[in-house]
Amino acid sequence: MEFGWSPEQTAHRERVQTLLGRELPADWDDIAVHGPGSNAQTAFSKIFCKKLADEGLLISHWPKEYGGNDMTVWDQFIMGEELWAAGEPRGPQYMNVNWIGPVLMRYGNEAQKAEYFPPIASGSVVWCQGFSEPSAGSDLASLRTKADKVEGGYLVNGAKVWTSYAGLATHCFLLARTASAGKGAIVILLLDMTSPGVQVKQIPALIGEGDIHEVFFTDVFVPAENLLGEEGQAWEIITFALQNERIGIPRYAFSRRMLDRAAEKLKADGRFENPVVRDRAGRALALCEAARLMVYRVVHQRATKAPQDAYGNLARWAIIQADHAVNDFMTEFMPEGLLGEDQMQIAHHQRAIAAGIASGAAEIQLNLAARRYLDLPSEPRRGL
Amino acid sequence: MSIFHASAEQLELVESFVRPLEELFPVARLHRAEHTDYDNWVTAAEFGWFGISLPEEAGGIGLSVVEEALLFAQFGRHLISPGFMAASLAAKTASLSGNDELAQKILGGEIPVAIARQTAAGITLVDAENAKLCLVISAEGTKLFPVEAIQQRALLDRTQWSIALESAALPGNPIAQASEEDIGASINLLIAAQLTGIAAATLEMAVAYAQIRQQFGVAIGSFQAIKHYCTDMVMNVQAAKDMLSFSAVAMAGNQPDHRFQVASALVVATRAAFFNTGKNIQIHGGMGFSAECDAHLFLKRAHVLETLAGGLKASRAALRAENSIFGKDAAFTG
Repeated sequence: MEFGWSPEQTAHRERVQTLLGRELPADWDDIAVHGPGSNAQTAFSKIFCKKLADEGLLISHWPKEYGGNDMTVWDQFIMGEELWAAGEPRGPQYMNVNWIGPVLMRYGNEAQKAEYFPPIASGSVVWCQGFSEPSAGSDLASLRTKADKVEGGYLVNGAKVWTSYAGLATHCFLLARTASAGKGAIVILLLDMTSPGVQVKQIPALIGEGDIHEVFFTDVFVPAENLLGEEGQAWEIITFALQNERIGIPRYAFSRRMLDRAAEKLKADGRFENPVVRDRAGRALALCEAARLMVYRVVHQRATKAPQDAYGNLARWAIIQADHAVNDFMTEFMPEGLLGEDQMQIAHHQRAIAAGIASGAAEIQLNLAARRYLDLPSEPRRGL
Repeated sequence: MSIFHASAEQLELVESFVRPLEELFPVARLHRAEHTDYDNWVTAAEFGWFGISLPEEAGGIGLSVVEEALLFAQFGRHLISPGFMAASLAAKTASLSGNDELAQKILGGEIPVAIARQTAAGITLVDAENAKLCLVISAEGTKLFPVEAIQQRALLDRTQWSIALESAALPGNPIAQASEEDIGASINLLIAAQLTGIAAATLEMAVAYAQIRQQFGVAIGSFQAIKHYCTDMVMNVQAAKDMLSFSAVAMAGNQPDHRFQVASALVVATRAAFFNTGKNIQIHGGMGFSAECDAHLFLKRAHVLETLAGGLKASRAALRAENSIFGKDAAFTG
């Protein structure tokens, strides 16, 4: 592993920074305050992603045959880091380009690629992921939403919960269960969210408005051609998708920006002189850097096409530690910001709370790391 | 009275308030935008809750700060408006200022009181929409003002925190005041008590959920990752409860180290409340950060109470100052 950025990588980072400086409006902090799933940010994402597409940066990491530019894994990641630090102006569309697209490239058929790629590439669609259910959170395999085979397709009945971006989504990457048994029974359906029988209800929560939803399916017909891959292949596809999802979001970049911002504020009114404050800021900074380097190692694995190991599990835990350290620092030393004075600090606080829960309880990462990284035995399964 | 802890009689007395608290202040009320605890202000005054530790001749109940601390721990469990603490502290402030008439009116529930913390810029005002008096806490002690004397009131939030938070300017000319030396321990004790109650309530919530929520075919409480959190939480609660009870007894007996003990109780309770409210959200998963679940209400109230205490940093500095070997922190310049 070689440390340091090449001149090309530095130039690429600067290009993204310049673009952000130019394209983000003066009131961007107000737009971004409720997070990527908010109405304001989703609306802005359609403007911003179009600009990115015009610049050839929206799907530049995709292969040339799909309209991309074969951008390197590292350049893709540098862009993600800069965008996330800026509050993710791609809004919910980061998901489209990060993993929905790549999953479709690998497992989709030609008709599906022809249908779904152009709107993703032009930045005009929002996908949501229909994974979690009331009884299937971290334990995704126990999902209950049914996909019954009918003539010409599937009839879907059930409910999803905590679905990010569903309120404005045009499409859903939906997991459902057929009549077969076990993990092989799960299918992935590419669902049109305007299908009759789909009902979306926002869940009010302590994180940004419009962020999470319940989605109900009542006799929703999904044509057979919307099945992704083969029946029985879903688990393989999800595993591939989640590898891209888990460290796809460089949260530490946003935390680092908030930490630097906090230090500026504390300096301005003389509070940064306090050695206790400085010590705790240093600790938070160290955790941000640790998270960054651990994530870089996973990116390096991906860039060199090395097999993915449990290091990704450790990296996600490190990201959460960094988020929490920055949040704890600001909460302790700048409590006035949290009680209404600083909307960005409030937004960071809310997202830090969700960081260890969204995309699966973080404790699961520890279990996986203990098993895969340390060869420790799994927890015994007790009385069902 | 036992030397170190609350007696059986003291515990029993507070138990007698558990049922009315359940009936008057179910936590679910906080999900209704229009709720206000000031609806039950007079009822609370009739129970004597504002003057537990004041002598009967001053209009109080004539018990000690031990009973008062135990009651306020129950208030914490029910997330009762910090205005109730304001009433108790305002009556003490009036009494210390020699204004017994004002103290009696506050204790009788005639004049609703709200609480505020002095900040660098002015004051942060909590749940003051129904109050006539405002008790401002600062590092120097307490000051009592008529609400109409408060200028530049600006609403910061009402929905997100399930209680109205306002910023305002600090008025001049208080109608009563008390020095930190006279009232500081009372402030710290009541806040520590409420934070202890919050830590206990969230422990119970988390354990109850860990016992029923199933993933991978078993209750999540069977996973070490979850049960170890719960064990840390119960340890926090026991430490906070014991420290609260011990420091209240020390204060009631006017022990020379009672300020140190109370300052310790506040730091221990603040940490317990933050750890437990945070882990309760984590253990509840996605449900934990939904508005529908009670978990976020406890976290937010813990933040409000911590702010009223001047922040965890200030609480730790106060604790250091009470240790003669550490002494007061040197002031930072620049």
